[in-house]
Amino acid sequence: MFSKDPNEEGTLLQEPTTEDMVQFERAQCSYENLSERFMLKQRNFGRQYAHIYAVRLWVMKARLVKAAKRKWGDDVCIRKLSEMETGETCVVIGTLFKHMELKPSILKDISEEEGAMPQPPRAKYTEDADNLILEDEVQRVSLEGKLDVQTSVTGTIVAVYGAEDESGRFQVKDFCYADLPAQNSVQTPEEDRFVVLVSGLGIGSNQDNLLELQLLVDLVTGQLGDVGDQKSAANIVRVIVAGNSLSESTQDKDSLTKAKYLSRKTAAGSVEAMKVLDDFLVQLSSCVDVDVMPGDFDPANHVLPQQPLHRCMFPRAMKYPTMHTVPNPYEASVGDVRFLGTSGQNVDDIYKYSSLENSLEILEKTLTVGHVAPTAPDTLGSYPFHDSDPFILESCPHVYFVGNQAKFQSKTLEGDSGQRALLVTVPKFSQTQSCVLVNLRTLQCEVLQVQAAWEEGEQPMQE
Amino acid sequence: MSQMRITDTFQQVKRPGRTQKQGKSAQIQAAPAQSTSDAADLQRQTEIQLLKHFDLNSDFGPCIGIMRLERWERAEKFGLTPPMDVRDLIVQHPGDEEYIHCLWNDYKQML
Repeated sequence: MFSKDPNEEGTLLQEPTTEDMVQFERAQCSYENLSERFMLKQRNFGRQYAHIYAVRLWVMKARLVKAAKRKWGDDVCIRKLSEMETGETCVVIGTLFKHMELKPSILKDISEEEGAMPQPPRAKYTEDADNLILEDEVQRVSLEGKLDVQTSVTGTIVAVYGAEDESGRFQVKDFCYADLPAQNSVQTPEEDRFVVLVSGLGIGSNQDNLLELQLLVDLVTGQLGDVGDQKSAANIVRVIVAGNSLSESTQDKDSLTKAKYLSRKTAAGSVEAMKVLDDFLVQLSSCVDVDVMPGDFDPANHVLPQQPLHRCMFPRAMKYPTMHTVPNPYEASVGDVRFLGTSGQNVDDIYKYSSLENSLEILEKTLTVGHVAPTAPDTLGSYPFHDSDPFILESCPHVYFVGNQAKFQSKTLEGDSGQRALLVTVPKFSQTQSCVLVNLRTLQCEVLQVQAAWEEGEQPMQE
Repeated sequence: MSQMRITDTFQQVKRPGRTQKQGKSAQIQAAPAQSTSDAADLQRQTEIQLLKHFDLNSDFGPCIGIMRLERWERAEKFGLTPPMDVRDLIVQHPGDEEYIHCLWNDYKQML
């Protein structure tokens, strides 16, 4: 647990001693960046998205054949839609497409005959009349039956078991997703080692919570608390900032529509905010490894995978070799423990297009279907890959996190071949003033909240 | 009736292009040279046909927007066994637009 060492007596509020100060050396951990597949080498946006869907189906098909055989027997017949006959019970593997009337469509927006204004953004675009369609390489068929429409999203690759009826609809008796991929065995460290996951710092908004952020930075760098706290803080080996370090209000949409002569002298809201962020990061990176991921409101490209923030934006922090800017999604191996996570766009998008409410449930769903962002490129912006789909889960992570969620939740998911994955939703720091500490030894996590003010009559928080 | 020819009523007018073409391909040169360029043309046509069939083969995925070689290599990567002679053809004509791009390349602006 990240808490005061009970053996150390409290040493705050004592007179200064003349003896030597205790020194703590920060723990070190091996590190490997595994996000190479998220880095874009070419920037050719002229391609269509059909390629990424074709690649996704090819890659997942092999795994689904294995899963289908395991679930329904080795002799189950797996058919292509073109070979399928009416009434024949078989397995079909393909991509799901969810037809949603309320899904924003650019064609409806600019259509003259609709007349009305474009649809205002809604929290959820689901409706009872939504229906599922399965597409394989060349054909598609309507699905009905056991596969729940409301909890499914477009882009997942699924194997359905059932038969086509006379009306041409495929009646699903059972379905399955690809098995959880294999997980590397991990050699856990002997002592407690912590990784801090924080997201949604939200710098640059009118509500200042810089004091809480400074408290957190001081705690991690060991300048807060007494000897016991410092001893615990020395066990923090890495800090991962999972997106939205800048607040949404730094993205000034008005400047796009305002005339150039009015906005020429005004600097963008994000410039000042980046300077403040650099101030915090230089303090952190002077003594601990920091990985900064871009988020929805950060100055990085909009489509996934977001490329790392440019080093010139952190002139002071980048001087330290411990400062790293990394892409979103991000995968790395810290002390043999594999971390994989995003800044929240994938989970938020699935929230909009399905009836799932709980972020942890959505996170679990992405792990179950074997794809980090199944709704990309349909409703979530994605780079038009043509020969690979980097969002497919290649190996099961030990810690699977998502940033910028409403609250902290965690769960350990167990796979069929002994895989254990810790799922973590990291809350927004700007709203909850809390971050998550993952213990690499036990693969458990806990939340750490910093408070800068007590309300009248409130008890001090127990850690 | 006196000897009348059809060409008396309908004059045969020599069009300017015709003589030029014939001059080029070889009135001066021997006849076999003309047939080899025809043969080369024919071979080119058959090769292009082969490549077009490769493009339209749905087993290898969508063809629009990527080079034929890229599509071939992608098919190879995912174990779809694309035919080797297609690759040989593409590699032997590196600069030729018709060989390296997909058959929809002329309609790129529309995509």
